[in-house]
Amino acid sequence: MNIYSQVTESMLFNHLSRLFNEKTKSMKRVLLLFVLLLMVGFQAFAQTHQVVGKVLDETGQGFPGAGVSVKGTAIGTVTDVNGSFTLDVPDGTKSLTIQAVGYTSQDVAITGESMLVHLKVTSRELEGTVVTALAVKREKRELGYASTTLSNQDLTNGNNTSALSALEGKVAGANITSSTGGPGGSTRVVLRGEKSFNGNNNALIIIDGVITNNFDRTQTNQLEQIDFGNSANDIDPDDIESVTVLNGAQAAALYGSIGANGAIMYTTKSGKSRNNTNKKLEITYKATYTQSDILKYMDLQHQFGQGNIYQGIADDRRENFSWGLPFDNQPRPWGQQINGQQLVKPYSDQPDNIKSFFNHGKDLNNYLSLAGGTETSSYFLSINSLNSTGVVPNTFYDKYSIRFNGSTELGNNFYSSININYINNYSKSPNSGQNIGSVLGNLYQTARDIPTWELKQLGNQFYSMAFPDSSGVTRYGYYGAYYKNPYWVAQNFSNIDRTDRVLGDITLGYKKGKFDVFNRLGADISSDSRYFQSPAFNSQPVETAFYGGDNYVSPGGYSENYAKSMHMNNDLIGRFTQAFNQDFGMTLLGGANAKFYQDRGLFSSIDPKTNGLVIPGYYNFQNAQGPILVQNTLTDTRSFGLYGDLSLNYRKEIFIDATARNDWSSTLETGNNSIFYPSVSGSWVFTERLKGKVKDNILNFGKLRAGYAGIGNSAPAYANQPAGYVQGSVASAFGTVIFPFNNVPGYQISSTVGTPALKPEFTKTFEIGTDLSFFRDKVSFSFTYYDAQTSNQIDAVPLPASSGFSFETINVGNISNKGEEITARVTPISTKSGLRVTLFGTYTHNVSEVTGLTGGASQVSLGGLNGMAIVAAEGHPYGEFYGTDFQKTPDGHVIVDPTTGLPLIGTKSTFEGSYQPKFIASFGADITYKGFRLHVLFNDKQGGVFYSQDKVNADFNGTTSETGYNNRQPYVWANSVNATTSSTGVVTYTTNTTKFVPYNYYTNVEQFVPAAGLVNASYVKLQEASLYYSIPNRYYKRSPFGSLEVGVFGTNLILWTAKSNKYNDPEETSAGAAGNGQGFNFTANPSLRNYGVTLKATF
Amino acid sequence: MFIKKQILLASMIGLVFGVSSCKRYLDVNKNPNVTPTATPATLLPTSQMYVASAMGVDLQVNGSIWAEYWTQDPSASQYRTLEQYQPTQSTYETPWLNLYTAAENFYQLDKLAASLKKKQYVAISFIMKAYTFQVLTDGWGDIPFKEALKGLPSDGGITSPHYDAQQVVYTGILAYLDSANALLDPSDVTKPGVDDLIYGGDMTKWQAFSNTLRLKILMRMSAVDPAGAQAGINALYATGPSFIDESNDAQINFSTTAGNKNPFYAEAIGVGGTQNVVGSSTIIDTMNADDDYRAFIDYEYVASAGVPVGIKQGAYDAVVAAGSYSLPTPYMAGDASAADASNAFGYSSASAPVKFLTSYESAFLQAEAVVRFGVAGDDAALFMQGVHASIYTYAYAYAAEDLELADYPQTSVNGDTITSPIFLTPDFAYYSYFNGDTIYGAPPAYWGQYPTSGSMTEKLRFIITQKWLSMCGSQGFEAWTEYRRTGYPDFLVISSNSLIGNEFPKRFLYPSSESTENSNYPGLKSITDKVWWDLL
Repeated sequence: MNIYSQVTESMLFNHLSRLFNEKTKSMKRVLLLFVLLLMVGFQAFAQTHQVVGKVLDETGQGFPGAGVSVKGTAIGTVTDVNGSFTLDVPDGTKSLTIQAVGYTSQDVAITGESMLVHLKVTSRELEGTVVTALAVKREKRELGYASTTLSNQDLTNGNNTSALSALEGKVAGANITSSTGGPGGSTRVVLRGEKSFNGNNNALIIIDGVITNNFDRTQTNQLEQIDFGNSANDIDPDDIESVTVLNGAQAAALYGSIGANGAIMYTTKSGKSRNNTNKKLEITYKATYTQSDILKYMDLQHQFGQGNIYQGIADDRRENFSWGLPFDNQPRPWGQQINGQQLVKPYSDQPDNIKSFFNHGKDLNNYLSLAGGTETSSYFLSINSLNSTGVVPNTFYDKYSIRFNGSTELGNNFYSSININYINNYSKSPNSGQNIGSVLGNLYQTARDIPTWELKQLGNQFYSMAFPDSSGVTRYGYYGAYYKNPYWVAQNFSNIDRTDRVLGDITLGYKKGKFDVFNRLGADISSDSRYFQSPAFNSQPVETAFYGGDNYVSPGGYSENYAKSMHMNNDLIGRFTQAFNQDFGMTLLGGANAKFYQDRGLFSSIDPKTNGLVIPGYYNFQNAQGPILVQNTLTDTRSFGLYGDLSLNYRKEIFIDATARNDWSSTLETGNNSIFYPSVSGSWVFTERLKGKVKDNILNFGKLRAGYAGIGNSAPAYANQPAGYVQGSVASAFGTVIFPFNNVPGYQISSTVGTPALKPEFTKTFEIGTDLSFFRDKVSFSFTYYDAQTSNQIDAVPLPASSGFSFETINVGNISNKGEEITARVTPISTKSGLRVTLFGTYTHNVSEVTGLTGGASQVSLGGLNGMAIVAAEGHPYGEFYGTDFQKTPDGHVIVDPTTGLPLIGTKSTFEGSYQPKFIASFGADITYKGFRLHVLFNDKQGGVFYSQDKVNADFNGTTSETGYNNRQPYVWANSVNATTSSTGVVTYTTNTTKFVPYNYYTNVEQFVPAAGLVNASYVKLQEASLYYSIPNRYYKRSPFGSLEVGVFGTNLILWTAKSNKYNDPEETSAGAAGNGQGFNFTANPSLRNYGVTLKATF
Repeated sequence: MFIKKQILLASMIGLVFGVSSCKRYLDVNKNPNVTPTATPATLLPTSQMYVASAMGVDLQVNGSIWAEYWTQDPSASQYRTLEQYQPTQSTYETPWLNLYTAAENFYQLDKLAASLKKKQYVAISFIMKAYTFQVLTDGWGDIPFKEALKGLPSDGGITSPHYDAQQVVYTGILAYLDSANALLDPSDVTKPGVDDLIYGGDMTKWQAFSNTLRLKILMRMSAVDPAGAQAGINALYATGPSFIDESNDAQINFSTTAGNKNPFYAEAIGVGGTQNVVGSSTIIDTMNADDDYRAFIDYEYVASAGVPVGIKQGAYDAVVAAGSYSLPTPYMAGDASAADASNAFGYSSASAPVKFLTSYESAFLQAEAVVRFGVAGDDAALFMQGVHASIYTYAYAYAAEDLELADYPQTSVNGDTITSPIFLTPDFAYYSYFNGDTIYGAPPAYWGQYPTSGSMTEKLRFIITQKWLSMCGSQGFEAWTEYRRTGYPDFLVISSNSLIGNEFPKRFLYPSSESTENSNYPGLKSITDKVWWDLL
C-alpha cells in the first residue's frame, strides 16, 4: 500500500462526509481535497520494457487499427497494417487490453514472447452491459425494453458543451430541442411524446443512479425571455463514461412517479482499481476552442430602404419601416440634425446590417482529469473550466466544475463509494422577446440601409442614446424615433445568473456471496441567484419638432431572484442472486426510497413599470421609489416508496422481469396518496435456438422483447390545496397597481382553485420490439413499437374568468402516444488495411393525441401570445396551434375583399397544426482508418409548424424578402376568390382578379392573422462533423505522453429548411426547456453553428 | 471498525423506516405561499381597485375612442384595431378578467363580512357588485351572473357558469341594491375607514351612490322596459332619495408614489412612455365652437392654434406634425409624458382620479328622470347643476390653468379678441357658458342653452349631449354606453379607418378565455349586435 494514498482516502472520506454537514465550507474543502490528490499524483514514470505482438481477426488475418493498451492506463498504441504492434510497457505490467470496434475487448496476459491475439466478434449494439434503473448494471440481452447506450466518444465527438444536446440524432424515440445549441442554452428532451399537459415533460436525468434536479433557469414572461439554460446541462460531457437512455416507463418504473417520461442515465467516469501494486496515476488533459456563429438569418429584401412612401414621409429619417423609396445609391443625409450637422450616407442596401451586429461566439474549454486506484480503491478527479463569450455583445457564459468519484472496499465485505460534483456557473444573457430591453427586438427594427456597425460608437452624438445638450437637457441623437440603439441596449441591460451547485451521492454497502445490501444517499443542492438590471433613461430627441416623441423614458429597475433547492433521495437496496441449477437463475431486489425535496424561491423587484430607481445606475433595493415587490415561493414535497424487482432467467435465453413499487406522496390526500405501479417485461434470445450456419453467418443474434408498465405520478406541491389570500396586485395589460395603496394594505383571493380529491396521474405503457444482428454484426437492427396511455392528467387548467378564478388544478384528461423507434447500424467496409466504415441511423415516429378532457374544457392552453395559442385539444396532437386564419373556402382558397384585393380575416380561431414533427430521423457515418476517425451526423425533423413573431414583425417593417416581391407593385393573392352571398344565403365563390397593395397587407392585415405567422418547421441539419487523429505513439515514445489526439469538429453546421421558411431555425424557442409552449419564436435567441479544434493528451 | 460500520448501517435503515413510517414525514402539504384567511378591511380596497383598473384603463380607452373623446396617436399603434372597429377577442381579456376578479373578491368579502357581522362591508360589496355587473352586461350583453364567481369547491365549484340574459342580470343587480339598502347604516361602528378607497367608510355617501346607481340602471331600461323603469323610479323617488352631489364624485384618487399611480398612466409607463391617445376633433371642435372652456381642462392647447386641436376620429394614418394636435391633459391621466408632477402646476397623469359615478352624471340622470318619467323637479336647474358640477369637479385644474392662459401669447381665444389677460376660473367658465362671454362679447354656448319649453326629445338631446361633454376624459365607457342607448350626441362620425363600413360598434367581444374555457359559452356575438336595452 502506498502511504500517500492511504492517508488520502481516509481524509477524503472525512472531508466528503463533512461536506454535507458544512455546506458553507464546502468549496474550500473540495479545493483542499484537490490539492491532496495532486500530491498523490507525484509519481515517477516507471522503468519500461518492450512488448511485441500481432492481432488477428476472426478469419485469422492480421487486424489493423486495433487498440493495444496497458490496462487502466493511457499507455497504448494501435496495430499497423499487418495487425502488428510494439509497445513500451512499465515493468511489472502483467496484461494488455486489446480493443477493436465490433469485437469484444479482452485482457491478454503478457507472456514475455511475441503475443498472438485472436479477436472475438461481439454484438456491439445488442450485447454488453447496460446501466438500468437504480444504476443496476445488467446484460442488454436480459432487457425486455428498448434502450440506447452511448459511450463518452459518442457524446463528445462534436464537443458539445451540453450533455443533453450531444444526444441529438443519436437516440431513437427522443425529440431533443436545443434552443440555441450554444454554451449555456437550454435543451429539452422528450422521450416518446409529451405525456403531461402543463407539467414537466422532460426525461428524468439520473447521474450515477441518483435522481437530479433538472430545473429550468429560463426567465419567461409574456414579452421577454432570458435563457439561462437548464440545470441538466451543468454536467460536463467529458466526465461521462457512458449514457443510457431508457425510453419507456418500464425502464424507469423503479424510479416511481417521476420515471414516467423515461430516463437518461449518466454514468460518470471512475478510476479503475488495480490488481497489481504498480500504482500509476492517469492524467487526461483536453483543451477545446470553439467558435460560434448564427446559423440562420432571415431572408431580407435588398431593394427598398428607410421610410414610408405609402402613408408617411417617403424618406422618413425616424423610421424602422423599410417601406421607403427604391435604392438609388445617391448620397443622402440620415439621422437627426445636431448643431446644424447631419450624417450622410449613400442610399443603398446594406446586405449584412443585421449580421454585422453579432460577434463570433468564443468558447475555451479546459478539462483535466486524474484517475487511479489501488487493489481495493479507486478514485477519479476532474476539473473543468468553460469560458465563453456570446454572439450578442456583452454576453458570456462561464462554468467551472470539479468532480470527485471514489470507491473503496472497506474490509469485512463492506464497500463504499462517493461521487461528488461541484459546479459554478456565471453567465450574462441577453433579453430576447419584445420588451424595451430586448437586444434583438431592437436590432431587428433596423431599416435595410442603416449601417449598423457605425452605431456601436455610443459616444458619438449621432448614435448616442443620452447626452446632455448645452442647456443640460438629456438628448438622444440616435436616428430612430421608435426603437433604441441595439448596442446601447446590449450595454445597459444586464441579466446575470450565478449558480453554485453540489450534487452527488454516498453509498455504503455490504456484499457477501449472493447478498448485496447498500444504502445510497443522493443529494442535489443548488443555489441560484439572478440579477436583472434595467437602466433609467429619460432623453428627448435633438430634433424635438420632427422626432416628437417622448418615447425614451424609464425610471429604471432592478430585480433579484433567488432559487435554492435541496433534493435528497435515500435508497436502501438489497439484492439476492441465486442460480438454482445450470439453466435457471434469479435475482431479487428489494428497496426503500425516501425523497425529501425543499425548494425556496425569493423574488424581489423594483419594477420599472410600477416603481423605479431613485438614483439611476445604482442597482440596490435601498434605491427604490416605492414599495418593493417581494414574493416567496416555498415548496416542500416528500414521498416514501417501497419497491421490488424479480428477474428470472433461463439458459441465457429467456428472461422475465417483474417490478412493483408503491409510493406514498405528500402532495395528495391520505387515501389518494398511495400509488402502486407494476411492470413486467420479458425477452427471448431466439438465436440461442439456432445452430450452425444460420447463427454463425447470417443471423448471429436475435431477440424478441415485450413489456408492460403502469406508472403513477403524484401532484405538484399544494395542487390539492384550497385557494388562499395573497397580497393585492392589480394588473392591466401593461401596468400594475400594487398594495399597499397609499399605505392601505390589500389582499385578494388567489387565482388558482385546488381540488382536494386529486387523483394521481397514471401512464399505462406497452411496448414490443426486436433486436437483430446479421452477418457477424455487420448489420444490426432494432425496432420498437410502443403505446403509452396517460390518464388523469393533473393540470392547472385555465378557467373562464367568470368563474371568479383563473386556474383550477384538476385531473383533466388523457393523452395517447404511440409510435415506432428504429435504430440501424451497418458496417459495409472493414478492410485489412484498417479502413472501417460504419453507417447508422435512427427513426422516431410518435403520434400524439389528446384523447379526453374532463371538466368541460375543450382544450387546455399551453402557451402562445398575440392571438396565437398553443393548446392541448381533444382529438388533436399535443401542442396544436389555435388562432385566427384568413377566411377560406371549404377547399382552402383564401377569400379576399373584392375592392381591396386583401384577404379577409377569419372571425373564429381554428386549429392550424402542431409543433410536433411527423417523424425524426438521423443518419450518420463513422469512418476509421489507422489513427483517423471521421464522424458525420445528420438530423432531420419533418412536419410540424412553428410560429415566428420575427416573420410578422419583419413583414410589418418591410424588411423580409417577400415584402420586396413584385417590386412592391400590387398583385393578385394566389388562388384567391371573392365570395358573394345571395339573398337566400347561398354563398358563391368566383376567381378573384383584384390586386392588393403589399404595403396594406403587411402593415395592416397580416399582424391580425396569427396563422400568417406559422412557418413549416421541417429541417435537415448537419448536426455533427468531426475528424480526429491519434498521433502514433512512436513520435513521442520518450515523452511523458501516453496518447495524443487532435481534432477538428463542428455542431449545428448546416441547416436546410423548408423553402417557405425564410425566417428562423425551427429549433429556436422562446419557451426554454421546461415550457410546453414550444414552437413559438417570439424574437428568441438565435441558434448557433459551432466549430472548433481540440487537443487531448493523456499522461 | 466493523462494529462501527454495522451501527452506521443499522442507523441508516432505521432512519429510512423510522422517519418515513411516520405520517408526519409526509404532512408538509400546507401551502405557505398564501394565507388561508384575510380580513374585510384588506379585501375591500383590492376589490375596489380591480374595478378602478377596468374602468380607468381598458374601458376608459375603448369608451373614450368610441365616444370620440380620444383617437389613436398617429405616432403609435396600440389602439388601431379599436379605430378600425375590429378589436379582437384578446382586446377584452384584461377588462373582463379584472371585472370578474373584482366581483369575486366582493363576493368573498360579503360572505366573510357577513360571518363577522360587519354589515357595512356587506352593503358596500352588494353595491359594488351591482355596479360591476352592470358594467359587464352593458359592455358584453348576456353574461354569467347567477352561476358566476362560484369556482371554489366550497361555493359550488362551478367552473363553467351559464350565461344569463341581460334582463336577468338587471333584475339581479337591482336586488343587490335592495339587499344593500337594508343594511346601510351610517352609525354602524363596524363600518370601514381608510380601507374604503372611494368614500372612506362614509355610509351616507354610499346611500347616495346606491340611489344614483339605481337611477342609472333604471334609466338604461327606459326604452326596453318603460313600465318597469317607471315603477322603479316611482319607488325610488318615494323614499326621498339622496343622490351624489357636487364634490362627492365616487372616485379613487391616485398618487405619484410608485405602484400607486393612476392605472392608465401606469399603462403608459408600461409601454415605455408611448403616447397612444390624442384628442378627437369630434369633441374638441364642438367645444371650441361653443366657447366651452372645459376643452382647456380636458385637452392641452396647441400654441400655434391658441386652442386645443383634435385629429379626425380614426385618422391615425394622417400625416400630421408632432405638436400640431392636442393630447388629453394630465387631469385626465392622458399625457404619457407627464412624469410625476411635471405639469407646471403640480398635477400629473399619475395622480389623476378614476371615476365610477359622478355628481354631474347624477344631475343629468335626475334631469332625465324629470323629463322622461315626470318625477317632481326642475329639469332646467338640474341641467345647469350638471354643467356646474362638471366644471367644479376640476376646480383645481382651472386654478392652475389661470396662469397658463394669463401667459398666453395669442391675441384670440376661440375666435374672440383678447383685450386683456384672461383669468380663467371655474366661475368664469360656468358664467360664460350660460350667459355668453361678456368680456369678449361672444354668444352663449349652443349646448348650454337648455330648451326649457322644447319637446321631450329636444330636452333629452341637450341633457345627454351635455352629459357627453361633461364626461369627457373621465367616463369614456359610460359616454359610449349612453350614446348606444340614446343616439346622442347625434354628430359622432364613423372612424376614418372603419373596417365594418358605415356602422358603429354596439358591444364588446367575449374574450377568448370564455370561448375556449367555458363549456357553456353561448357563441361569439358580432361587434354590431346590439345589447338588450339598445333599441336604436
